[in-house]
Amino acid sequence: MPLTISDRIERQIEIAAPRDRVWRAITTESEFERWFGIRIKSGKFQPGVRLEVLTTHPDFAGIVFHFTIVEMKAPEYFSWRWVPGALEPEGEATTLVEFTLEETKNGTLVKIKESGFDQISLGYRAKAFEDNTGGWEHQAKSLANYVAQNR
Amino acid sequence: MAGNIRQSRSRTTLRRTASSAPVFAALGDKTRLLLLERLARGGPLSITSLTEHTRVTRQAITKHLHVLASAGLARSSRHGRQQLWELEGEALERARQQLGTIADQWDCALSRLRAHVECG
Repeated sequence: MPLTISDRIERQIEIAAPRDRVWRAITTESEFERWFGIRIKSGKFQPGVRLEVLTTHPDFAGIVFHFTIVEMKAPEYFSWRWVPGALEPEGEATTLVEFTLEETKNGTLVKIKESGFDQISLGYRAKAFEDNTGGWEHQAKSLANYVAQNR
Repeated sequence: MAGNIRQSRSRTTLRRTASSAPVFAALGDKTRLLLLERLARGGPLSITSLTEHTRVTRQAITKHLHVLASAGLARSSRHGRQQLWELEGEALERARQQLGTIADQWDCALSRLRAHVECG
């Protein structure tokens, strides 16, 4: 059994589009709502602002969570703190989510880092979207349909 | 109504899994990582052999072992006059699986972002 275990998650993806375009997709509320699969109930993307959002999948509707925007440095760095899930107990610790956008030859490298797992209930965090696994897939399909219809 | 049911279920989940955070706190120390590594290679081991070739006192090692035990990462048992420590892999494995779940969710989210940008 390997002993190494990271206290953070780091993932990345390359997108064939200019950095400004990717930045808009991540930091414009209406675009974020579409690909992330949520609807913003209150708040906006601005440092220090706490947003209340709802998941949008029909089977999973009404799940509220909050996140607080930490920093926005266009067009390369965007971060927030959150505990996604139905419940946000008062004073619950949060993890930090950071997006970093780098220009590449073919487009933009999007790096995502989530850290602070030593502060939260990992099991709770892992389950936050678990019921929604099918929902995310459904969401990706409806996104593809949406995009196809709105070319 | 459905929302209420879901909320109360999440509350139960929260309580039941509240113990996973200490795993990371326990792992955030070089000496404890070293102890885990030794236990993984050749446990069960006595405190005397765990203290060998370290610059840390026996008392400090004992303290670190108890931190690992309270996070569910190690356990001790008595063999005659000797107390032996061994690895408890379950908590570590659970934490690793939970992190894997969250990482998968991010992979999905990033794929959706790419589809949104590239096809939009």
